[in-house]
Amino acid sequence: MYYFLNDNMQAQKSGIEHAEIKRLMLFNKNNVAAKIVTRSFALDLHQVLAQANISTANFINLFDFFNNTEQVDYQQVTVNDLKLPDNCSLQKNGHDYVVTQQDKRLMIITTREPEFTDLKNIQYLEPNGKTVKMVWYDTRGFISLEQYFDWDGKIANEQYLGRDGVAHIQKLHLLDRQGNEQNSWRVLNYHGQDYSFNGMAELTRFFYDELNQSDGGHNVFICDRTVELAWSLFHMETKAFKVLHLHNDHVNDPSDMQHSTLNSNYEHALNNLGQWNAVISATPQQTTDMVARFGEKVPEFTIPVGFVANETLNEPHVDWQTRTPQKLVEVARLAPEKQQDQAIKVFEKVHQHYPKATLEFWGYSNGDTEEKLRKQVTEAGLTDSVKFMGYSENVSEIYNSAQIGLLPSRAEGFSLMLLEAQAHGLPLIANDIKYGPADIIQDQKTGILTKNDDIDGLAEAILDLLSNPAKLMNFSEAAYDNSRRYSEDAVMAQWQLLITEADRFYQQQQTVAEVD
Amino acid sequence: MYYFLNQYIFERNSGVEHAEIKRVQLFDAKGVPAKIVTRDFDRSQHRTIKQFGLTDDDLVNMFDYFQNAEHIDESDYKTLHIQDLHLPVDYQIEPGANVSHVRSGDHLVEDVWFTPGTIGQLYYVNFFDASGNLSQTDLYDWRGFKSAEQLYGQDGQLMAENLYTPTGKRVMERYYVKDTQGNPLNTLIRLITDQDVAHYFTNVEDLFTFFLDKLNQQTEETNTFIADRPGVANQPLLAMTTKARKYIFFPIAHATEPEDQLNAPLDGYYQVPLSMQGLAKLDGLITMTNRQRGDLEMRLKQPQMPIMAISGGVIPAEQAAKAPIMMAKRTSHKLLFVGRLGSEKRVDQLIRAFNLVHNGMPDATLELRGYGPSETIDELNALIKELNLTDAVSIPGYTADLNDIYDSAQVFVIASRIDAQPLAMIEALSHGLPIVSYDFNYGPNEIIEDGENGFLIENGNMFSMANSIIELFKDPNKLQKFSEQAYSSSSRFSEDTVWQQWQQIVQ
Repeated sequence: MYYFLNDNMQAQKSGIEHAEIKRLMLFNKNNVAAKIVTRSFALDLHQVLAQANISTANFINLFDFFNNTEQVDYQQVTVNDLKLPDNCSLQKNGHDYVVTQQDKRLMIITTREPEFTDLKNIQYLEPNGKTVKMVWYDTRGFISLEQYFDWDGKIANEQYLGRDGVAHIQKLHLLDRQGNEQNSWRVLNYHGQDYSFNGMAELTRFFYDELNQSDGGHNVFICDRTVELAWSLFHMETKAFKVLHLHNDHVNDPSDMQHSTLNSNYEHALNNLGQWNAVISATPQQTTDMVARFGEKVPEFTIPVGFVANETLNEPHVDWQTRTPQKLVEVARLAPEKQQDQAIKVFEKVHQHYPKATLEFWGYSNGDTEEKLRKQVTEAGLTDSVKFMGYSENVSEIYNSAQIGLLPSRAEGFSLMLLEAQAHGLPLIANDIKYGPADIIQDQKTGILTKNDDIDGLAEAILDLLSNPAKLMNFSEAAYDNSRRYSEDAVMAQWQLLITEADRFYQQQQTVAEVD
Repeated sequence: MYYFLNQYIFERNSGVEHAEIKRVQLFDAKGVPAKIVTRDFDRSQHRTIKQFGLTDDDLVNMFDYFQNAEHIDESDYKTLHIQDLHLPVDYQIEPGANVSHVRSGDHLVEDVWFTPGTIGQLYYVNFFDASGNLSQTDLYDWRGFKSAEQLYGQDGQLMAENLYTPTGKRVMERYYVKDTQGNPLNTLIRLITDQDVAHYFTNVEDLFTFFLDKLNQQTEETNTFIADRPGVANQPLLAMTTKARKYIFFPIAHATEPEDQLNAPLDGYYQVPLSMQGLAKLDGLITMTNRQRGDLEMRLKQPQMPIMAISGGVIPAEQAAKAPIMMAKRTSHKLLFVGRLGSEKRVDQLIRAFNLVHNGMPDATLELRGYGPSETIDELNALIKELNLTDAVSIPGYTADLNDIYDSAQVFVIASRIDAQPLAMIEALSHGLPIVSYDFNYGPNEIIEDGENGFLIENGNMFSMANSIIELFKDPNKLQKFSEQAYSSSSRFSEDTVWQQWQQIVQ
């Protein structure tokens, strides 16, 4: 089994989650057994999976694993299903309900948006009005979390329950010697045994070991989030083939690949490089940089993030005339490293020449980035031309309706956006940064590579294309062609090299075992 | 069914429990179904009651009832040990006689405590987080199942408690907040009944009332409920909503002044039951003595309901049938007191009176049997030391079986301020002990025939008490005669006589 390790899977996904979902599709198409593995708790996890078309057979979450709730059918639970005693009265209060007994509030019941019929949580109050407990419903219709409140109103104990109504995981929120809250964990009645863990990393380690043994071993763990997960992987007690998947530049200063300090996301993983059985970079350029700095003791693989599906490749090309003239899009999280602020600055210049030109930002915001960007747009007087569209799962439509795709990032691991936009025939203008754009875009043929922080250069590139519609059309056709380099077969062939390495690893293990 | 309402049966009990135990055994002997009802959570209950000769059928506990643990066949008891705790194989156990420490590497995961007096039988388990904070306690029932778990907050205080059936289904949740003294106060109880309906209570008294109504509805028959422990049973009995025959029993005097039971304010536990509204819900009142019955009748100005005197003390047929033990065969000049060692018993006066006896008869001894608050016992020991009586006066502690102790003494002494009927006095009588007692409310004057089987002493007159004891000790013939009279007069408290008194209620 190939396990793709992540922290969580939310409705709004970053590039890493998209990369995993794409990878899963590719593995499924090629009949290689694979699952995405997450460890964060979420009430709506299975709603998110359904929306992202991820089958429960392809997914495993730590809480589902220990609570035996990987496959649970939806069952509606509404306020009518609560069996209230006769001496209680139920009143509707907006979308919520309040249950009173002897004129005192006993329960506050919240229903789940958007229909406000399914139960979301119930808060229990004792007669002095203090909350003593809250229970939360999984979107599939059972109580999956109980929270106990201490005398000071702090949540001190959380219990995670299965469909059987029994808690199989317990999270403690007690205080350390400095008076800070710390989380300890217990796994209860798992194969008849109870376990205690000093923290989430220990629990995750246990989870990975159990996962590794649940299907007879010979598993490959591909770690897509190293900061959160690497420690647990390193400390596994059972043998496994462990793969570091880089999703970004591994150093802080791309101008000094050999000596720069390491990107904090990968520092721990790379300082412990010997713990890995393989490293994946998305571009040949990064592989070269990695080998130059760290040597080849750990096998390096170059595998693009994502692929272009055969169906997409076979789709008819979009008639250029149907694309909205002078419409630019940037599809990326609203985050400082994506440099949307530069896109707006550049667009100010473009707008002076092309007042009908528009710019759309698609993506959710990290922190207060959107707020800052909106302020910038307002100050530039561009509110009619620059729009914030939010997060969308349906990016094809966006790429099919625009004329230029923009990505002025200062760092990338690969950029799924460029890959997908190119597959939809969108001419691209992107900074030539590490890593991705130079690999995906053919400069001056399918798009234009610009220099990071060169606002004028970026503006020039846009103006050049807008002033030359024929060139744009040619770029579009070339983009469609170029994306064949990332076909299912081409990308799977790269994966096959890693799969062969993993098979070799386990054969060796077996030989060693036989000799012993 | 007759239900006798109480709070608990402990290893050491007060007169209320002893009277109830004797009563339920009397009902058993007479073939009338009866049960003691206890309210408190006690996972040792079924172990304890066996020491008093009670069976599971003699008792129903509220928590047992809700936890589906009323009847567990003794053959199904499981003696749980640390091996039954599902510990992962790589956890290390540091064994101990009372507690074993369980570690995962450096982390103390849990302390496993064993039931006192057993070899490694699970009692409770404390769980600790990474910093050594107590996070949870699991409580094990004597009969071999996890009965409850207690959860602690960041402040280290009990915040919640979940109760389980023997098969592991959660049936009750109790939530605690801080009371005015800073102790845990249970202000919300969530009870999950058979049909998964949850009921909510804000205190254990309301839960007890709910339980009593449930008990009452178990069968079609008309049940009789007798509230024995006033602080626990009176209010819930009155609050019951279902029809039953309801009686209040008086194990204590009803008014706050020992000497003025007619006019002094009522004890707090009786103010509501003896009000117009309270009396209207009751079928009768039961006292243990005629004098208290008379006082209540005068106080309540001849109420519409019967007030009955039924002795709490009952002499078991087995004891009544025993051959008398001659005074000469007993420890010479040995005095005995049995009862709670609390201030209302005025044990200090007893010791001072004994001191007067001891001055003239250095071989006289006094044994004080019973339990009490440690401060009172410390005071008594200090007094014994001060009077140089350490060799003559002993406080050996509480024991359930007193037969041999009664049989070895020569005179029973008591100097209480107040009582509703000193049960030990009746027991002493049945063992042929002459009784020297102050004439206090209530009981002595209905047990002692002055100058025949003992002496009734003017209340507070310790010189008179000492003289009476000396009189008996100096005249072995008189002592023997008094003893014979004690044996014979104890028939007034025989099973048949007391059962006759119960006929006022038993239909």
